[in-house]
Amino acid sequence: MRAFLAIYRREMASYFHSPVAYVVLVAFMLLTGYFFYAGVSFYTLASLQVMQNPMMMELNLQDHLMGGLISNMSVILLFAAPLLTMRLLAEERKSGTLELLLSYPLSDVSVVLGKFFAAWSVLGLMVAATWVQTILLSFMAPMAWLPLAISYGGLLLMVGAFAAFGVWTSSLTENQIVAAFAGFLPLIILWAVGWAAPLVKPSLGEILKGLSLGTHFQGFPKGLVDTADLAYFVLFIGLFIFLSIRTLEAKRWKA
Amino acid sequence: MKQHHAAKWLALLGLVVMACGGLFYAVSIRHGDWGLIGAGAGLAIVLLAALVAHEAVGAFFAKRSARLGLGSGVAILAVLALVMFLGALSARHHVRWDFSQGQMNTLSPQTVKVLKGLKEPVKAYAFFKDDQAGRMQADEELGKYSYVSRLFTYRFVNPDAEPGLAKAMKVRNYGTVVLVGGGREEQVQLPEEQELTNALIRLGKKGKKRIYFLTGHGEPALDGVAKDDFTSLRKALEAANYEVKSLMLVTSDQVPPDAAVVIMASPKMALMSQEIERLSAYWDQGGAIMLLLDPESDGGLKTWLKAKGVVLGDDLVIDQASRLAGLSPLAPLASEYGFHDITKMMSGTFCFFPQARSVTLETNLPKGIKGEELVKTSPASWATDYKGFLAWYQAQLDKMKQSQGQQGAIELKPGKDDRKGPLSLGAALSKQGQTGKDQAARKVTSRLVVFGDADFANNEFLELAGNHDLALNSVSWLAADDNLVAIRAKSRKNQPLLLQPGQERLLFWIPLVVWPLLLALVGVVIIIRRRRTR
Repeated sequence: MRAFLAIYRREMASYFHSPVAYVVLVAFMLLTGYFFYAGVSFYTLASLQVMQNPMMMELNLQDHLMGGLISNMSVILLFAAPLLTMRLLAEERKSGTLELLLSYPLSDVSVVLGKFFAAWSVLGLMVAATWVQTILLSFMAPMAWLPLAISYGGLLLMVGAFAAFGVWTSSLTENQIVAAFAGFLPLIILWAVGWAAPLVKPSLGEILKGLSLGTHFQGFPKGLVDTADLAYFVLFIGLFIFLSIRTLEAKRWKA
Repeated sequence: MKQHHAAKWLALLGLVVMACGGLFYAVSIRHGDWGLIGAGAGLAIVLLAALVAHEAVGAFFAKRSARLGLGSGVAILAVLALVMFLGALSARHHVRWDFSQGQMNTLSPQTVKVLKGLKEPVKAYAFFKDDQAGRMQADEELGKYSYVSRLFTYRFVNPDAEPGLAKAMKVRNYGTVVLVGGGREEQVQLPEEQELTNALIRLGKKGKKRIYFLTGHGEPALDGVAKDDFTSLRKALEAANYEVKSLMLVTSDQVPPDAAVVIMASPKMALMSQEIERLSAYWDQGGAIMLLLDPESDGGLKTWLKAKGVVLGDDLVIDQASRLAGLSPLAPLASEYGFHDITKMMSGTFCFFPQARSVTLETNLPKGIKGEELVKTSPASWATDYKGFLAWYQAQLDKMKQSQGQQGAIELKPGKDDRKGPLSLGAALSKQGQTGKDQAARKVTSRLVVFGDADFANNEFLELAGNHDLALNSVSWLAADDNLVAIRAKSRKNQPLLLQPGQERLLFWIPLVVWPLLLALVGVVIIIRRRRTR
């Protein structure tokens, strides 16, 4: 536990003592802030139309604004996460500090977990920072807090999966760019693979949907909690942490 | 060594072939077997490569690191298998909690009851194009059903990719869902909860409802091939799970009690008074009647209808708008629909009524009767006296003959006595009543649909525009098949948002400028302080 905390603190410090975290955080706030403002503007415009013609449709803040914003955030975070995780192990490999780290009496498990939780914390902090928008809006409109909390919970699980995957790709190479790209591409494919379901055989479509990050996330913004989705994210995170630990171990016996 | 080099490339080629074959197998719907063959060929190439370089392979596994690697590989494979197993397990046995406002993701208790009561598997085929609007909503809706009952499964069918299936299930429109179970089929045009659940209930019902067509007054045949016969309508009704029979009312002492609907379509002669009495008695006891009455004959029912508040016009409706659609002005076009169960799904479609009379409801309907005009013609239409028009038209034709084609087409213009459109061409009525006495008394609903035209549902015109839907919707409303259960569409809280200009500015400045700047500032301060302390 102490080893884990030591690694965790070290990683958090290296995030926040360098510009990386701030650059990513500020860029993320600018993007989500823009989407938020555009979304609200569009929503108010639609509200005007709905008030003139009540038969048209119902407008709901959670379904037609917040849910969409949270889905947008998950896509932006998909790109942000590998930028935050690419460094974690690749840099240590390149600079040779990994051997040093491995020579300490630290278990591979605490090294990987420490790094994973640090990355997850930073991503979680980014998600939390968007509450400024939500709280601001809550003074002007009635928010449905429960579905909103569920959506944010889903988002946290999702970035957890991104972080775990990023730690693993970072463990595979000593080149940070390679680690980042190896992080993006499979994540994008995993995110979107469910969309291909209508195009293939029904049985295969089910498998694609079952593998898809996007499909398992889409219930949360609707306020729907499904044990299958929870299990997917937990298994996803667990699998890639396990794989990262194995890669580190391989480093030991290959050396 | 050269051999090993070649084997490496061979193995790589084999892997690529395997991957391509697998991918093709996964994606291709019809020719997937070729993909499997490709994948098999790839595997054979890999094995061949291993055979060629068997010495090198053996040497590799003899190394310590290779053995350790192998152990690690086995562990990874075991964990992968475990994860897949747990993933599949959690997908099969899952529980949901719906925290949305208004329980948007949960089916109504009525639907859950119907689903829990399923005894046989029901499979839903949703006929959607891959990129069709509404596909996702249908997927969500059907997903809720399959979540509640394992016996309910569904799959999407692209009718363009599988035209055979669409044809076999008599699917006419994109967006149709066909429920199949217990050897029967039910179609749903709009995959919403009320429609799906009602279709499920109908699917579970044994036996078919009977529809009787009156005969004996010169009505067109139910199995003829002439343009004005009703063979297409009969087939459409049978496809919708009804049993169609003909009924000679004059020789039976009453309308059969099993009649769900009695249809009289285009009689050439009037009904006899006994027939009208029998029909009337049937209606009063909760019967359902559909009358399709062309301008030339009202079947002797004009007075009977008048007593119900229905005014049958002795007129002919002419509509210049039909010419734009390539039809005669004598086939008025209707695109305005009344607010009624029959027509609620029809907005945006046209119906054509060749040679139609007006059917109007009186402003004050008799006590206990509720009614709605169903279809209206365009403002460019008018109603003219039928007999007068015929005489005038004949005279025009004669004139044309005499002038030997010198005179052009006959020009139609509204006269000063003619009624201006929009004109109603059909109406639906219902009456709550009671039948039987004392203990045996039960509440019944009598239903009546009248159209001032029969041609719109005949062999020639049934499949034109919205005619089919209008005819079938009318029958299913009459047979009380439209609403076995009424499920209110789930509604969310409507939350329109109007902002003051000041508020809107706040929503721009704080999230987009102030907050990011603040965070950037914190970053700069921390980094500078850290550099100084170093």
